[in-house]
Amino acid sequence: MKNNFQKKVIGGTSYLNKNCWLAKSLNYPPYERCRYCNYKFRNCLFLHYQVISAVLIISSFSVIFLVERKLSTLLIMVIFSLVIVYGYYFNQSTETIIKSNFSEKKAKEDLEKLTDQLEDKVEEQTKYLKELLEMKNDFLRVVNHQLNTPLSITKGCFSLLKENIYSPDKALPSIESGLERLSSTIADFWDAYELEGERMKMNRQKTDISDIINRLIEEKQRMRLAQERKLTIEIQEPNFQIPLVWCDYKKIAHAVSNLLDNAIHYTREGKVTLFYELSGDYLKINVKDTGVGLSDEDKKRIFKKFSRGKNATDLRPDGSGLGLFIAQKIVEGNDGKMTFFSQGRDKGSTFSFTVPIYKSQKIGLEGEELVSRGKKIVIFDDNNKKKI
Amino acid sequence: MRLTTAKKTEKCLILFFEDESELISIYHDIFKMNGYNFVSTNKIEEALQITSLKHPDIVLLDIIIPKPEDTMAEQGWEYLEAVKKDIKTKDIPIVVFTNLDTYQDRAKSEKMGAAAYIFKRDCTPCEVVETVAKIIDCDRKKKVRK
Repeated sequence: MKNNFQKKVIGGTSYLNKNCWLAKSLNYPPYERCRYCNYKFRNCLFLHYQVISAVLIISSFSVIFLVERKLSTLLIMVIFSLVIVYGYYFNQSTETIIKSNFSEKKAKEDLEKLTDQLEDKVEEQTKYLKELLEMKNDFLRVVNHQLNTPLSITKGCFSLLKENIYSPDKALPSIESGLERLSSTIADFWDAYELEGERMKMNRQKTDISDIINRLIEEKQRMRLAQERKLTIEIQEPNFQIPLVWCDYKKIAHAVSNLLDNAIHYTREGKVTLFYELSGDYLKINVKDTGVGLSDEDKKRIFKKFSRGKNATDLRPDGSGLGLFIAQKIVEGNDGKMTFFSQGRDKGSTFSFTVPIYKSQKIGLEGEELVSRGKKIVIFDDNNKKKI
Repeated sequence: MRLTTAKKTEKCLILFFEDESELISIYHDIFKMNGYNFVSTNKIEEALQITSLKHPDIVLLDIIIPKPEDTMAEQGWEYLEAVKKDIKTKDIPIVVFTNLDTYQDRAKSEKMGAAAYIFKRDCTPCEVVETVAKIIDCDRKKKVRK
């Protein structure tokens, strides 16, 4: 389509100068140079040459005939030869000039177009860089605030403990939770940073996810908050054999853990249920709670960074607002999809994600052994990376 | 342990506009211990209502108070602007008490009429109580002079 269009523009092989009476009548360009011309027929230089030559020949012959009363055959031959030879070279040179003029004009146009495009590109890039800079500043502001907050709680409690205003029994739990919050916020920020730029590599392998989930559920049942609220945290056993899945089990465990944490924090009473479903080539994992649910406002921005639900500050003051963002990125990095469902405020919510069922996928480059974070010690022995 | 500077401030009312429950609990304890009346909220409407009805002696104002649609909403500025606009409340000393520590935030606080700027992370609760007592003292003297 684009090529056809290009052929029909001036200089193209199928170009027909519609301004030229002759070309239009013939329905094809009479000469090669007519491809580069958009003049009217009466402005055609070659036509002028032909007409003038004809007039000159006729008038010369008439004058000679009137003066000498005869026309020598030799003279006629000489004049015609001159006209033909001159015409040929005139034709050739005009064609070359027209072509080179056309190329020059075209090059200029292309250059202008390119300059315009470059200017647009530079403008676009500058805008993008400005946005990035703004985002970086916003991010640093958030990081600064989110890190300083647990630090100010910890330092405040510590100073009250030091001044003997607080007893160790009162101060230590707050100091401990402040430090815990600090370290998990730092971990969350780093995960979000790595996941956003897709720097976090997925080390996918054949995984028995039910085993990981069983352990996570046991861990969450022991959580202080869950015990205080007397929440029931359970797995609804499926009526099918849970298939092996193809994923990075550490990252997926992190995502499931985030979903369970969220469910526990936003459920004042009742239960948190994890259940499995089969969906084509995927295993669907659902975390359902009887908690505060999601308002329409919450639903719009639920997976955004630093986004927290309407009741977030009351129910989870330590949340960084990154948990769901991280979980979603991990799920997507493993070729799954994350969805949620809630009938509204105080009606509970269900967060679900899919993960591909193992079907003899092979470990590719992504499966290469990587030095992962989260390890306490990593020893670098020459070029071999060993993890402890 | 009571702080000496807070002895004359028996009936002072402190409004703490803050969303962090742990911090509220710490400052509630320390201010109560030093004989202040202490009230806190994390809702701007409530904070403005308390300010105009109870006329607190001082306000400790956090800047980042999340809104449902924005978790990093800087509602503290909105509150400060509203209080300073109202002729009945504009003389209440407001101490910006935040974990933001940029030159711009400090300059903005001063420009908007805050009485002081405390960077939460670097101040102990006792230092905060002392500063609050000093500001209340200064404010009272100023009012007596008037």
